[in-house]
Amino acid sequence: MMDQEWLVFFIVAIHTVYLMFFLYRKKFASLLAHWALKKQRVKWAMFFRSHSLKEGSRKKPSCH
Amino acid sequence: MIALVGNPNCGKTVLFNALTRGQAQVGNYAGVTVERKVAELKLGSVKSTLVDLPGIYSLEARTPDELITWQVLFGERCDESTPDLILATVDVTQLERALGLVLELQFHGFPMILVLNMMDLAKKKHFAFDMNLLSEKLNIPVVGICATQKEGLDDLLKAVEDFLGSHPKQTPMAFQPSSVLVIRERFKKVDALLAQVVQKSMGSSDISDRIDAWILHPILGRFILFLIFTLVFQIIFNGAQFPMDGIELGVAFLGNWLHRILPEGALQSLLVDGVLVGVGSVLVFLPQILLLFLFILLLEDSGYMARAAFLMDGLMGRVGLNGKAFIPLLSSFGCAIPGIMATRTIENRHDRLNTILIAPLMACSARLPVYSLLIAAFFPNPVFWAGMRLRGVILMGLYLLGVAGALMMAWFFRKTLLPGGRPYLLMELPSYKLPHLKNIVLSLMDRLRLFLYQVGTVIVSVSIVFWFLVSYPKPPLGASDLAVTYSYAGKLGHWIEPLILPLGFDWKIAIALISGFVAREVIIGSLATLYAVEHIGTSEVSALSRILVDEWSFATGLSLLIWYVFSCQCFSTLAVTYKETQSWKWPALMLGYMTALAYGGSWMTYHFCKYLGL
Repeated sequence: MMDQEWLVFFIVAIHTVYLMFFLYRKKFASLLAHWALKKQRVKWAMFFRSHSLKEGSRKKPSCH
Repeated sequence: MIALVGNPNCGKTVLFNALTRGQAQVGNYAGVTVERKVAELKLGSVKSTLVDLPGIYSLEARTPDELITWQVLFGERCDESTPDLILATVDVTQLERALGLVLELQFHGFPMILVLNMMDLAKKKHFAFDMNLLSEKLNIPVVGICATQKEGLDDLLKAVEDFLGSHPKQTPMAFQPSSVLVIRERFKKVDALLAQVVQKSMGSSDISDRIDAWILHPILGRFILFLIFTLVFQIIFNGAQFPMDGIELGVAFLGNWLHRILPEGALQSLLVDGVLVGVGSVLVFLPQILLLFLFILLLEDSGYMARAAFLMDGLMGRVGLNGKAFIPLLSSFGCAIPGIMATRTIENRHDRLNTILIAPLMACSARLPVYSLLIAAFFPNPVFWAGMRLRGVILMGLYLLGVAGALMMAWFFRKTLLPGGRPYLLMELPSYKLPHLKNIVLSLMDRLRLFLYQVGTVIVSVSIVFWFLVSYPKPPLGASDLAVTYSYAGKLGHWIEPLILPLGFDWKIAIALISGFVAREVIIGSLATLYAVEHIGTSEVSALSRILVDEWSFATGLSLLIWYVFSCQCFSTLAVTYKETQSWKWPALMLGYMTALAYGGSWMTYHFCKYLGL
């Protein structure tokens, strides 16, 4: 019975992490884009930025 | 890079899909494409990139979607250079207007092939062309195609290959705005050109004009509009019953099978009460959602939706909404996210913000399962009038209530936060067409894929986490109350309960409402899981309706329905509003006013029902 509960807790934990990622994915992408720019990885920054909330901004992209 | 450029609704996206085997959304009205879409295009052994761009009437960008086209054409996007070739796509039945843009592109020095689309309609309308003369006069290659039938695509690909093989890359000159005089001269040139190359046989009759005499009639047209939508909601509610019963039966069978093969314990409860009940209760509404999208697609593809916008313009103008807002608001019946993105076609910022703010009040497809569950639980289904059944009428009433709320709020925002004059509608009415079966099937498959993806990812995860929250911690030994009362969810629900008690909601509804923030339809899965855990042995989906009738009063059921008409329970909608407005002020206002509207509406409904003794 205890083994079954541990398995259940493990499944719940994985899905909690997934949901957190799902809810904050755009913020997460923004942070990664910021990190990539700092590391001079412009292509990575563009990729992450296209998945972040800043995508669709009417401002000119900052890499110009 | 090869770019598809042309007026709105000239068939660029259909051509894009035909050339790349893509599945981008298409529709028989202007402004469907508001973003750039990219796909790989194979030209013999060489691979190139094909870009589909939002439609433009000239190179002067006035709206956010036109700005995207402008940026791509003039190489203003930091990851792209100017296009190697432009496929200037033209609706042959609208040559006068379309060639103005072609001449403007040519003036700026863009390398170009002129693609004459909808040649089948030209034949039907008895147009005759001299394409060689047109090519000679414009000094660019001209290819005639019919993108929907995939006719002439080989000729087009060959022309593209020849062009790219024989022309070095040309860089266009910097953008030069055109004065009124220049524009006049350009259109004089277009008239002269058309006089030489196009012939239209006399006496040809246009069937679209004849249908429009009825459809756009001020009184009859509105009656037909009302009749069409009444019929749609009747079919959605009553026509989907058979496949819904089938899915329900399948879920119940799977539940019984899991009960048999798994030993009793936490894992069995997680899989049956959590995952299966949570997912199955949402999945069961798939036929209704597909029917809703089928009707929207049929009406869009036939060209009727643009007429509906025209018929609604008077009412929308009176509350200060731009006529162009109709299409974004209509898209919001599917989902508010593409609806909010489609507001990019609106030039005026105040008009656009007003449309964005009210778009989530249009009942999206995620609300449909909640409406269906509650209507089926609390209302009988007798014949109401002229063969129409009551549940279908109530469903339509809820949609109309959302529309009425949206119009009221649009008027309020116009008078307070977003002032402006009465906007006027200027839009083209596309020709009527028989809906293209392949496009409809592809779009429906796309919707099905998205729904199943949502069910397989987010709804599974929410169901699992929610099951945990309603199952743990276990009640202490000798506890007298229901086990759920002692759980984390039970404690949270009791904490929130005083806030929503005036609406007739209890702590169980409170926790289900919170879970619904991830996606609106999740509330059904949460309620199903909650009651499945509480009532051991009632894990079939159909049991939920019966339990709701036993547990809730009619006033509570109706109050929750009204809450769902007005509330903004969707993180994604708030995120896309931030993305489109680049400010947290507008999503905060959206959440605030919609919650206030939902709270006020539910409170009044509940107390009115109680006053009537319901």
